[in-house]
Order: sequence, then structure tokens, then C-alpha cells
Amino acid sequence: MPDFGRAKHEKYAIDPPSAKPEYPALPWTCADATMLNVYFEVRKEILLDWLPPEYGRTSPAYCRLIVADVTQSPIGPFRDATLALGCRLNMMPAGFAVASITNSRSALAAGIAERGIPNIFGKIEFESDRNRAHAVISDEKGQLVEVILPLLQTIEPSRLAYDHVDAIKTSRGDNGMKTDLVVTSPEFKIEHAAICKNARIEYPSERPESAWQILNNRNVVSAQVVRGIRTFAAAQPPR
Amino acid sequence: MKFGIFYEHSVQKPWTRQSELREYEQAMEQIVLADELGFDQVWQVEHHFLEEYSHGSAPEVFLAAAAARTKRIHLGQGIAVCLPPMNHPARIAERAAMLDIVSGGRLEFGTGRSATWTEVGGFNIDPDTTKEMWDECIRAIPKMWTEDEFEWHGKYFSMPPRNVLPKPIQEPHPPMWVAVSSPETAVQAAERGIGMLGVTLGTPADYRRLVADYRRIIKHCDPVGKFVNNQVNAASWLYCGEDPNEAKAVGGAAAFSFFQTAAHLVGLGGIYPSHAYTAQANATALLTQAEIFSLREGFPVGSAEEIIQNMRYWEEVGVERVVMLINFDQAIPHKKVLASLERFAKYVMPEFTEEKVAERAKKAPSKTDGGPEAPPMAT
Repeated sequence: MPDFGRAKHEKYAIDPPSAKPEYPALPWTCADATMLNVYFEVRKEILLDWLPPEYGRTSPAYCRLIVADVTQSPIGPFRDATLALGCRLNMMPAGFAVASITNSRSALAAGIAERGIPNIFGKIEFESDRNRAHAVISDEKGQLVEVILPLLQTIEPSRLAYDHVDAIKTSRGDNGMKTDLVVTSPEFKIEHAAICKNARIEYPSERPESAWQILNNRNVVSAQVVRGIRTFAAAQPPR
Repeated sequence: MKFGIFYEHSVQKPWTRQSELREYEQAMEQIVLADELGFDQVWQVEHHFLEEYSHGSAPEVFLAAAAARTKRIHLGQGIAVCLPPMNHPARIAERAAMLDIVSGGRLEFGTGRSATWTEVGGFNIDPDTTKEMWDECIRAIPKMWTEDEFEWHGKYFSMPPRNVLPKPIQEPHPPMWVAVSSPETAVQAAERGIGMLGVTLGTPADYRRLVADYRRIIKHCDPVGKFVNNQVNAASWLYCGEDPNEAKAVGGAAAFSFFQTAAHLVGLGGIYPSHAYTAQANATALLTQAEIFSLREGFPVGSAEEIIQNMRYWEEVGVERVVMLINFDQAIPHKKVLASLERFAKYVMPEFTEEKVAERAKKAPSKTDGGPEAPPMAT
């Protein structure tokens, strides 16, 4: 039997806003979006500490780091970043979000209310052109992780396929706080794709309490930058 | 039609230092019985680092032990991983030749390149290069077996003139195969004149297109070896039960455990976008135990009568051999595995002798390459 996760859902509970937040109705169709995606290996025992019991780990254990730069959306430009654990749900490939950040108050409100991610406000520096890409993710306490893709090579979009990202969504119910596992469908219709064979992940400041650094990189597997249409949609319960 | 068995050497947790020993000993007893019963081949994979799924990293060692205990059954390296950073091609040629000699010329030489990040990444190999590496190796190895002074200056390995020893006992060399799990590789096998060793645990419908392409192209091949091996070897599951219900309960549970573990492997296509591997994320089939039987027609898990019917589907698709996984660790009790092999040999194999297959072929309507349409879905 595969190893299953041992993190309780409560580990991911947040304190959602008490008033109904304001944001345009989902889904948001966001043309001209860019996503930076890096797969990297992590220690299996650490991954299991963060993985809910519905999920099995892979061998080797790996994470997926996603940074998205949206230039057009109903709320204007925004960025968000997610750290997801590579895993299997009902034998299907999946990612489970352990941490997520956005630089938009509206995206944060929609994320918390309908997706579980993004659920922390922060800062995301993002640069990309045809040759390279670079991102730095910070929360209110400072920098967490830096991703550098120094040399991009074009690849056919059909060579890429991304799994859904799942998360724990916290809401206020009649009997207090409630946590639900939810699934966000793959969000990108890829129009242009590039890979990077010498991507680096760096940790510019020490933040040993943060999942972004606890699940630290042991070996970069692959990295890509894709451009296309992103759909920022409400999450659904797992099948 | 020829039948074989194959081993991943799956070992489920909890592990002890005896876990692999138990798996290997039981496998050996099964192989000895299979040899006596008339099974034609036994294959062992070469996998690395695949926890629970496969603890079979040194097929030459295991097959050499099997050679010493058996008389007729062919021994298949399924496959030797032909990536120089993992296995130097001269070492592959040497070990294979030695196995061919100690087995009295019973080696079937399977080749391949790995399909998981776990393995390829574990040896720090660039996945984009594995197909080219494999291609270079399979062109070099037959020369190592047949030339007294072999010299090579390729893209992925080179060596000065040396006599690679020993030479295999089979003349001019053992039959060569390649593991095929994609349409591209089926075509490449045919172009190179080597056997198609299906490694997808599939159904006749899954194989139909692959076999058709292979048969069409191999007629015009440029063989990498000294002769053309134009055979197709499909892979599937086997549990020949006492009756349909017992077979589905026992064999179905084992197959489900296998697929569940396989689902946790990290295929290269899932997390390493590349021209060399097909993108696979979101493509893993969701197979519940019930679905295995409702969806996978031709799956040889059932009573002897059901398996005869299922094997006829394979025959119609045009495969010469079916090699079958017969257990997943201890999912099926060892004694039941032995009984399954005995029932298969007693009731199923006699229906697929050369004479009976030829007789059915005469009666069948003329076939296009690859056989008829896929069989109807089982109900």
C-alpha cells in the first residue's frame, strides 16, 4: 500500500473574514496570463507531515511551485503563487496546496471564499520574457522563495499537461468553523510554452517556520513558463 | 501461440530483511513449475528505486538462478536498461552473453530506456536523451556480440578496440526486443527489426493499432541486429481461477493492488515535459476493482473457459506471445498462484497449439494487418 498523508485538515484552517467579501462573480477568464511552474523533489517524511490522509505520496516525493501573472481580469492585473505537494487522489495525479499567496485583495477574498487558494496576502515579483523568467515570493514578514529560470527553450504546448490543485477551504458554518477539501481544475489553456533545463530555487532569507522553506528543494525536476488563458474558477468537492 | 510469465518482484510494506527473499523464492518455485508445465518464457524487469512496485533491479542475477533450476523455459531480460550512465553497453552485452551461455541459449534480450523520473532522475540522466541513448546502445550491442574487435565512437559512449567477451551461445545472437508502451516505440521497433515487447498491461483493443503499425513497417526494416525478430509479445495479467467468481475475487483484488501501486509511480510524462516522453498528467485511468472487469475486455482473469475466450481476442489481434503477471507480492497466496498456472496449462494452453491456431486462421475471414476490429466490451 502506498504511504498516505498524516496532516489533519485543521492544520490548514484559517480565520476567514466575518463579512461577505466583495469581488466579481467567478469564474474569471484571464487572457494573456503567464504561469511559471517548477517541479522539485522534497524529503518524503516532510511531505507526509503536510499531506492530508486522503492522498498518497509518490516516490520520489515532489512539490510543484506555481507562480501566475495575470494582466487582464475582472479585477485588473494580479499575481498569485501556490506551493503544491505532488500526490495521488484515488489513484489520479493531483497537487495539494500547502501554501498560497496573492498580491490582490480581491483575488484573496475570492480565493478564501470559493477556492481555498490563494489565502494569504503578500508580494510577488515577476518578470518574464521569451528568454528567461524570475519570481520572488514574499509574505508580510519578508521573502520566502526565489525562482530563477535563466534560459528558456520553446516546446509544443501539447507536451505539457497539468494536474488539478486541491486545497482545504475554511468557511464559517452554523456550528463554527468548517474545513472542506476542494478541487480546482487545471486552469490554463496553454498557447505558448517554454521549458528551462537549469532552473534554480533559492531561499533569500531564512524563514524556518514557513512551508515554503520547510518543503525545501532537494533536486529540481523540470521548469516551464506557459502563456495563455487562465480561468480563475470556484473549486468543487472531489469526485 | 506462446505463453509466458513475468516478474516485477513487487514487495509491499511492511518490509523486513526477509521480504525480498520470500518474493524471490516463491517466484523461483513458480518458474520451475511453469517450465514443467510448458510455459515458453519467463521475463524479469529491470527497475530501480520503485518502492513496493518493483524490487527487481538485477534481472541477470535472478534469471541465472532460474536457468540453473529449469530446462526449457526461455529467460527474458525485460528489459535491460540501455542507458550508458546506468549500464555501460559493454557490461550489458557481457552479462547477457553470459546468461545466454549458462542457460544453454535460452536468452531473450529485451531492451528499453525507463519511463519514470524516479529511475532516470535517480541516475542524473537527462530524459530528453534517453531515446537516442537506447538507439545507440541497441546498434552497438549486436556488434559487441559478433565482432572480435569492437570499437565505438558514438554520441553517448565510446570505447577503443576491444573483444567484448563472452560471445552468446545463440547464433548469431539472442533475439532482440524493445519495451513498447507507445505508438512511436512500436514504429521504432519495427524500423529496427526487433521484437515488440508490449509492457502495457492492456487488452487486445489497446494493442490493436500498435500491432498493425508494427506489422506494416517491419516488412521494410533496416535491422540493427544480424537478423529480424518480427514477433509481438503482449503483456497482461493472469489468474486462472476455480470458477468465475473465485477468479474475479482473487485475481481482481491482486490486479487492483498492482494498479494502485503503479498509480503512485512518477512517470516522466507527468512532470517532465519533453519531446522524448508523452505528456501523461491527468491521463491515468481510474481503475476500481469492478472497473477492471467492466472495462478491460480480454483481461485473462477468470475461469479457464473465460480465459480461452479472452486469449482468442489476443490471437485475433495478431500477437504471437502473451506474457503475464501472475501475482502482486502476496496478494494471491502462493499455492493459489501455482494452482492457477496448473489450470492454465491444463485447460487453456491446449487450445492454442500451433495446429489449433492455424486451423482457426484458415476458417477466419481474411485479415488486414493487425487483425479484426477490437472485440466487444465484456459484460
